[in-house]
Amino acid sequence: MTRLTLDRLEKRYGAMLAVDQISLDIPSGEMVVLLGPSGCGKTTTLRMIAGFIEASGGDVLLDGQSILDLPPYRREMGLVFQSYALFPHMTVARNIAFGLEMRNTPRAAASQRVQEMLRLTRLERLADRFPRQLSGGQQQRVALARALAIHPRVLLLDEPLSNLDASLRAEVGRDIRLMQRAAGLTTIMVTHDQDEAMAMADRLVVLRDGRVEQSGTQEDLYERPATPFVASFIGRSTMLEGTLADGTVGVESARLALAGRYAGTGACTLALRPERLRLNGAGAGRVDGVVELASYLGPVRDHLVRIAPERHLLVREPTAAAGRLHDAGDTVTVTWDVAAERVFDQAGAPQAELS
Amino acid sequence: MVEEEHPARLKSVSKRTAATGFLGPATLVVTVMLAAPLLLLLRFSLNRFDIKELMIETVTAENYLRFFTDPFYLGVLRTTVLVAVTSTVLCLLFGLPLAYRLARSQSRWKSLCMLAIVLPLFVGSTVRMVGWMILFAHGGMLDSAVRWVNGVGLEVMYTPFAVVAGIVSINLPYVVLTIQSAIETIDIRIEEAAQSLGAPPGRQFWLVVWPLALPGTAIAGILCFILAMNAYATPYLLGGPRFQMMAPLLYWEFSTNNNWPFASALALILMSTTLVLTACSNLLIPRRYRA
Amino acid sequence: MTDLRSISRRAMLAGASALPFAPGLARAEEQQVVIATWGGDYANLLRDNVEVPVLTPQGIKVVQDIGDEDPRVAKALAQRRLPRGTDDVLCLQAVRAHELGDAGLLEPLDATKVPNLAHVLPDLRNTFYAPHIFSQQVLVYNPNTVKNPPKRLTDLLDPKYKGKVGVGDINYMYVMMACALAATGDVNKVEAPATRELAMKLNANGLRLYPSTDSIGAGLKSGEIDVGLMWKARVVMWQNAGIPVAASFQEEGTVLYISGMVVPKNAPNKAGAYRYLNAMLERGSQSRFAERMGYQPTVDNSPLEGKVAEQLSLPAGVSKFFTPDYGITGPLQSSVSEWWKKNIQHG
Repeated sequence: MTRLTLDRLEKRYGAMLAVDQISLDIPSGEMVVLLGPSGCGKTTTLRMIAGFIEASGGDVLLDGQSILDLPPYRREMGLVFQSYALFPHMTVARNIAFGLEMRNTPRAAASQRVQEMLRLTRLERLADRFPRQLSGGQQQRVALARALAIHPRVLLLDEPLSNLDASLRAEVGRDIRLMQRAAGLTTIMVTHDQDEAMAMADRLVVLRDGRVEQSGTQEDLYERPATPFVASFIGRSTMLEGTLADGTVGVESARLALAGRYAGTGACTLALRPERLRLNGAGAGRVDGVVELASYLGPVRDHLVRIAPERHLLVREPTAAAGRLHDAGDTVTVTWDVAAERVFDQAGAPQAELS
Repeated sequence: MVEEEHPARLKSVSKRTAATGFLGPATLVVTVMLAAPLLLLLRFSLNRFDIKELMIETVTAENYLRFFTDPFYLGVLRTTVLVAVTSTVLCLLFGLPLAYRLARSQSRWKSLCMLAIVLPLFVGSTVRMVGWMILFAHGGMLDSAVRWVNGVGLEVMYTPFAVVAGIVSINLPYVVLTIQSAIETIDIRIEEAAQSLGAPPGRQFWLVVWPLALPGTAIAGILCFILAMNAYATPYLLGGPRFQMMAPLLYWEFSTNNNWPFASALALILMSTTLVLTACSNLLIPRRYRA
Repeated sequence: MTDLRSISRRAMLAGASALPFAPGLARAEEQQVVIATWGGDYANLLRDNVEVPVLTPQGIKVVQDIGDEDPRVAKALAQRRLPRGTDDVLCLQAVRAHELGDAGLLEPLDATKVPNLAHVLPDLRNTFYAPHIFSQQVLVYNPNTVKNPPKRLTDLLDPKYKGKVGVGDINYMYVMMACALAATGDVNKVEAPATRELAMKLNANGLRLYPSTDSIGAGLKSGEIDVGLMWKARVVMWQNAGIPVAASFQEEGTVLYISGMVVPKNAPNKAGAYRYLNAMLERGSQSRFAERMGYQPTVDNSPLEGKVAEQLSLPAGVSKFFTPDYGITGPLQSSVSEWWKKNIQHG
């Protein structure tokens, strides 16, 4: 099993820093998802690990051994692409056997391995088909089987679900996760889709402008976002800029009472999770406002509450919870407790909560 | 229901007639421009040549017999095929790596390189042949350079080498552009997938790029072969009078000897040979790779 | 010559000035003549020395139909059954003119139709064509490298000339005539075994075939060849262009290249065509062809002057000129061409 280490990995294009000193340590068998908007450097990082892009600085190590000097075909990485990248002129079976042929695996062993992979990916009946005769989900399963057939040291997934229909995503995503677990493969997946990332990862790494913004478990990122960017990128947050003083945040004409107590004062950013706000509830955090829009969405009901002329809060309550759907114009109090709020100082660092 | 069907059918019929109406003139033009001259050639080739009468209308196979029973003419056809095959093979050998590099280039010089390849097409082939003549001629650049180095000149003008070099230089841009556009359509991730699975560049090219580029390469090869089979200016200017290929021979028979029947037969023989060989070359390509 | 020119210019001026005052006359006289000719210098010289000074004052509008000789002949043959052709005058080499004449396509010419034919040099007279210019096929050599100029065609068989002899592939018929003259003494015996044997021997001595006349000049200039067979006219042109070349008249005699003009039987304006031919044979009309292209005039009343007269003057003792009998050589062209292809080109 393999431990993958990125040590201050860097990629420069002229003056532009695409990847800025990323360091990451992935223990054997862990699945890490690199998450970020387009242009954040996640794909560049993946391609540097695969060997298709030359690093400008830093190192990539497998079990402590640098692999930067190895060409892609000697790095033993299993790669799965967004576009599947199957060999269109080869059958499913030959696609899966390709890597084994490159390793001069004896015929019997190779054929056994191919059968095993076909069974694992439930593709036995499609072994003699050509890629163009398969659906997208089937193609991506072939790509996965092809990548796994060679017992790669690391599995690299480049937006593997992005080309699939929404209905297929969960299914293929589950397949990937199960097979990765079963094989105990150290894995890096790249995606811009936070739902996908949350569903698949052991650990998430949020990238922004070529730097690691925050790294941790889903819970770490959701409950304790380190920056306003993470707070808005992982899950949903309403961001309010205001002034912190005496346990309240002043936002224009509104004054929001906070549920927690914070040491700092002055300019701050307040992030509130809509799904943790309530109307006329019991939480210590509260602000008055007027309902502007109300929608019943089945599992949840949404209220858009105006707290200042240009400021709104989205409140998302489970329909199972107490309360009713208000009418536009109703005066309400938005309430929350401490888990719903996160206060960042001017530099974007979270304010420590005083116990 | 029935009533509704009627206008719909009417509509489709009128649509069809409209389409035919539009296609009709074009089809007619193509038929007349393409088929008529060929039929005329076929008719002429069965006539008898006469120095005074030019052409005596009859139906005789003597022009074809003359060609196929005379080792000289068969030799000319053999030379033509040999030159065409050689220059096609060379064009593909030179063109394929060039096209591949160009298709995969991310460089900002790429468009400049493309321009450099297309640019020769702006200059007439005869003009380019004059360039080769200056290079190859006695006392020309190549001859002088070699003479300067080892004291003995190099005679390239009026050799088969000069003809093949000339044809390759004319056909190479077509070959490179055709293959390049074929390779552009191959997802580069497919090559990366092959590499990540352990294929070194050579095997990756041979097992993945080559089979996928094969249809485009075959088209490029066929294009090159047809152009080479019908080359006129190049063998005439660079091969000189002693180098016999079909197109100059045909022109000689047609214009200098006014022997239209024999020239027509030559034209049809050249065309049939080209068609048959092109069809045969298609058989070399495995069925599943065919375009 | 100066006199002649001023006369024609005066005539032209007179013609031009007469036009506005005599519109009726002008209309009656106005007619069109189409001449199918080579382009370039030749066509320009025709325009400047024949058409503008002589024919325009007569109210004749000339249209030049410029193209190569082969398509010209092909066109004439293709139009033979038409009652009205498109060209009035065709410019052709004597051999091609004879070919068409023999096929019955041409109007026979004589001094009653074209008065100036009376002045044509006796050797050049012919019923089918009016000779316009002519030149001798001579031995050419590079005077810088050849100290003893060849005197006979057979001198070119000398091993010292191996790979250094050049002829024009397109002139194969004339080369064979030169061989016939050297081997048999009869210019017409182009298919005699001795003629063919001589040609094969020349070929075996590394004969170089050039695809065009100009490429022979380039060969002489670059030193690729030292000797060859070429028209005297070309020697003059090349000398003027600074190419080291001199001519040597074969002792066995030289073959004449004659270029002339013919009138097809179905010419739309035969009267105009005859007037064109007459104008072309006018005193002095041909002298510029000698200056620019090195061809000799075909009439006895138009002597050359100055440098060109010197260049085209014949060395003492040279008098044996041979005009092939096209009645004999014409029909042989096809078979000679095929023999040439198979045994000389392919030899």
